[in-house]
Amino acid sequence: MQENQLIQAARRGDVHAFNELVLCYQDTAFTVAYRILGHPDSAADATQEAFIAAFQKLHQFRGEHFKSWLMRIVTNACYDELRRQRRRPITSLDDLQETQPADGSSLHSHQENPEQHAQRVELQAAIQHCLDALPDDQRVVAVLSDVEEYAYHEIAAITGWPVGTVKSRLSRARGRLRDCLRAVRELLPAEYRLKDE
Amino acid sequence: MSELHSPLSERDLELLSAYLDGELAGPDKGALEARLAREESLRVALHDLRANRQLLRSLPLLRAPRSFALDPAVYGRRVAWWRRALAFENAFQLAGALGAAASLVLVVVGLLLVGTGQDREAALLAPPASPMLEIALQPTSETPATETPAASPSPQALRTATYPSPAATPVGTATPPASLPPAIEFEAAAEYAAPDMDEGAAMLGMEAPAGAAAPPSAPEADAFMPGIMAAAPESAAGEAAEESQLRDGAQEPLPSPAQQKLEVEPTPTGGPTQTSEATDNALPASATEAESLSAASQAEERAAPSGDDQTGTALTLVGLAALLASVVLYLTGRRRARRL
Repeated sequence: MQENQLIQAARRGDVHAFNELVLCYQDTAFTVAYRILGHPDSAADATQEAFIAAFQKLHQFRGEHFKSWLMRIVTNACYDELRRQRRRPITSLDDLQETQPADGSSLHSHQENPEQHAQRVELQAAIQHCLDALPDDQRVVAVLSDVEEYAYHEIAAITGWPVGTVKSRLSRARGRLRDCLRAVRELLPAEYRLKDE
Repeated sequence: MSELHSPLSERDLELLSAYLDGELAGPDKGALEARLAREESLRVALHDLRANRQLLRSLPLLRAPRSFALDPAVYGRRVAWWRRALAFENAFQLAGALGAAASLVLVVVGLLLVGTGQDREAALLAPPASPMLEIALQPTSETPATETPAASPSPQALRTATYPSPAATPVGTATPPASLPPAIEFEAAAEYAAPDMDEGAAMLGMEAPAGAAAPPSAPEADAFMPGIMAAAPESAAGEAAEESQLRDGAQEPLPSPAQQKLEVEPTPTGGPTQTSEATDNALPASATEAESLSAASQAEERAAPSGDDQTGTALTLVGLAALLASVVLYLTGRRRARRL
């Protein structure tokens, strides 16, 4: 069934049709939530909240790109989660044990040895650490632009910010990331080494 | 090395970032490319930004730790019809349709009110059309004085006008045949009093329309519509009649209805038979009363239809405006629904 047909069916209350859409987009939604929130449990909570909200607000969907509309809801759910965390900061046992993040490492593990795998996991953790160090607005725009590869006008539509604001926040985020990633240069593969090294 | 690590200005960083994403155009792009050709620090910074972006883009798509599908048992029930109806675009259409219906009702009610008011005015202005009334109002050949009630009574005759009590029946008035129903009798009396209405209205300072017929004169109203007279004892009719009474200064006792019945005997042809003297003396007197009381009645009658007219016109205009707004609302909702 086409995406538009699934959307129409879901608008009529067909939860099975909506679940088809959930299966299509849940990995993307979770990835965005994880990159913004930096914690798998919070990301899972935000993703679930986003899908529930999407189902309840589906009548407000105006026919633009469904993925962008869904990402807007995910982003808002992440903001809600961030506000909740600031009000009541929680530290789980997983954090204390520094468990492996939900980084999807198994997707790339076919042709790499354990050392390469460990190095890649460490690099991803370092990047996520640099992302986490960004202010919320800069992190959101960096994730949407450099991780999810949305164009400026799409980011503006998702976040509700003007394109100029998106542009300036992205440039500041990139400047901070540049400084942060320089500190972990030894983890970077040769092709990603900065030129001055 | 230190030159290469020199911090970029915020403006340069924004230019490089936009250039990296292909969002820089025009003179800014040309100027930046010229600087990039000259300044190595800018080239290094651009390389760093590009490498970092590549790093971020190399981050894998994460697998969701669990399914986020909604439970049909919790979310599977159909959306209530009213929630779907109140959806954004549907609410516009629903509101537009309801508004249009309500507006149409307003317009219809307004037009009905206007029509009612016009009918009342037409009833006041139009002569009686019923042939029965013509018969009832036809004076007998033996009463030439009553044939021309429109003729202005002489001042002497006017002085004989009295203000009758509600129960009194004036002598010499053209009493309709007893066989006529009360409503017809009332209209017949109105026709009789019509020619004198203008004078009565003038007495009250009212503007009398040309050819306007009058409601029943006072004696007839007293005789046939005691309820109406009793309902407005303090009306302008009473004041006009009192003025007339003060002017004339004399009162004559009026015979009771029983006496009048004795004097007026219906003939087989339908017209009342009266003596000429009685008609000569009594008709002008009753006409004077008629003109005063009919003016008051006319004022009352005119007041009501004009109010209805105004209300009806206002309702119609408001209804038309609301109808237009509702149609616009409906079309807006329909366009939004189609965009989906």
